[in-house]
Amino acid sequence: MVQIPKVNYLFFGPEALLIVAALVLLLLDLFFWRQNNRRLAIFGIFGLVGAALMVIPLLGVNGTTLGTSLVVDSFSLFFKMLFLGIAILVIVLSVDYVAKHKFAGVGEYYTMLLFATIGMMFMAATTDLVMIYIGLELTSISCYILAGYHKKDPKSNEAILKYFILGLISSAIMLYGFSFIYGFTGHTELSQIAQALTGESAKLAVVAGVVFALAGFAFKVASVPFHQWVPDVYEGAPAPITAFLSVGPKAAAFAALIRILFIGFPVFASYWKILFIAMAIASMFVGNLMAIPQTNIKRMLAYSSIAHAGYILVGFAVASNEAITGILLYIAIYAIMNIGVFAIVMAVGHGSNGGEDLSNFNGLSKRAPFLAITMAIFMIALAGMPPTAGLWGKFYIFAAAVNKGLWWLALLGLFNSAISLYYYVNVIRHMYVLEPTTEAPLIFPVAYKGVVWATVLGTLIIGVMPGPLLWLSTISSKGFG
Amino acid sequence: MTVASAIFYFFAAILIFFSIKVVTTKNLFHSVMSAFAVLLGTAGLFFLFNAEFLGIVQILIYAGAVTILVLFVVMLTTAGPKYRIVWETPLNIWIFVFVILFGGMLGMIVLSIQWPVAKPVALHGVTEALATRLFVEYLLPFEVASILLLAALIGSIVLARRD
Repeated sequence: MVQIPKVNYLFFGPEALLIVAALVLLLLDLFFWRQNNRRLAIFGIFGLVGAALMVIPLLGVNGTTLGTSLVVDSFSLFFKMLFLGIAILVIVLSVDYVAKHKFAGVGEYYTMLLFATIGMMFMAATTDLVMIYIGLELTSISCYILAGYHKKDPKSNEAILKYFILGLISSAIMLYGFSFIYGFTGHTELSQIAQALTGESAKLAVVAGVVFALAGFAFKVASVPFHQWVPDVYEGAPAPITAFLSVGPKAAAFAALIRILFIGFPVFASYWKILFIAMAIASMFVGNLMAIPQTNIKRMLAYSSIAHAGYILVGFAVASNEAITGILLYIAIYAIMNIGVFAIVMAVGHGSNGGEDLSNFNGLSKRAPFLAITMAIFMIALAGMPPTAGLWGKFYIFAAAVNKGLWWLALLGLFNSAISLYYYVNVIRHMYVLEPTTEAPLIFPVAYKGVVWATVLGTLIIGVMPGPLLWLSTISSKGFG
Repeated sequence: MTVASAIFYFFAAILIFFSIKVVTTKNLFHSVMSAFAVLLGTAGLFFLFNAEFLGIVQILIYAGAVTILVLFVVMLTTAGPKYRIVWETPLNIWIFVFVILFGGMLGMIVLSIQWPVAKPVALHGVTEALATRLFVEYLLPFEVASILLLAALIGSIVLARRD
């Protein structure tokens, strides 16, 4: 007889509730609230808040269920809360955007967002390669579709096509790498893989497997040399989805990568560290230098997000517990800052004379002083200047690098922050120095204002008082590195 | 060389030949049929490895249903079965250099790894073992895969429908 495993149903709480919410949302759209944008969005937010409440009884719990398919620890809960928060902010941002652009398939839009969030949550909460892959695909497929929601806009069509084809290839390469690892060790569970890796042959199997898997993950986190899709996709995708892509799936891929490398292959750290050093340096330089000539704000932010992936990869190159704490801190802070920036970009693009060009920010201080001052704060934060949260993200990663003797890598990171100041301050120049092209005051929905308030307060409060978030990151990264 | 390894190399040759054919042929219809041959060859390999259930499923679902679906798409879209695939960028030398280097690297890696070999005992009751793994060990991935398929299904409808 087959032994039926004992299942701890409580552990599934957040994901299960979110799956039910997504399916109910789909049915509500079909039968009762046909294309009722606002109601469906509010229902989606309720689903996410409910999932966040289901996380609370799990706080402090350490355990696995169904083999190791689902791991509940502070690391996975940290990311679950982060993803739920991101998804809530993105839905709030989406409501007016969806209404303005008259998207067909409103219910499916929110369902896809929830599906992507579910996939991200599974990715961060497992130590099994199969489960990581399924979570990753669930996230990716939902994101492909969301990126193409402007069906009549050729740029959006280009975005979805590039994202889809390149994403599929990168997934295939990653899966090929996993197959090497499985073929050699006979396990898909990371700690069992780590035990099975012995001997000279192991080295080769791991090199092949890990390099291919890394290539796939480098695509998902938008790191050089797998970054070419980023600017086109970020430019063509609907703005709230760009905000989502730049923080959500990326953070999930980083979470899965931390698990894979530090549970599965810590013995081979000296090999993969070299790859990460190269990827980090290339991402920082390419991202920052290519961001400078951009005139479209979404393209600029795309390159900036490549650069930020580079800073985070510095943490992987250092590979100490301190660095992972820094990575978690950085990911959370970056999510807050970037969603705020996109809320402002969407507010500026909202009106009839709005757009996503840098020139649309000309003289913003006269047309919308609130947006101008908050955008300035976010730009300073993205550059990593005090007194904003952006400083602490960089500080802890670079400090970890210095402590591990990689001071030159930290120095390169600082140098890159200086380069990034150029294009971040350029945005401030557009807002405060240049004359506006139109005198009409900027009118934008209150939802954008709410998100901007929430994120700017987050950026400033964490900037002055990083203690609580640092504490969360520290307990969540316990045991890694 | 044993009979089993002879059969293996036979199927492997079929797989490689038709895989290349899928991407190099200029005729869309031939491309689909080559893919069909690749899927059949994979089924043959499954049978060779005593995984009858996987082999039958491979034939029924991939070689059968999926190929027919793809054929329907080819027939029903404006391209039609007579559509010729045009290479916009001509083949250049670097493609071959890259393929040879990359393939050579992979070949060297695969050949120099001492792969663990399954004991003959493991080749009995493969279907039962598969069921145990799928519904006990990998139950959660199996269930989440259904959400994944649902997402893909809804997404393709959203993208493809007229509005």
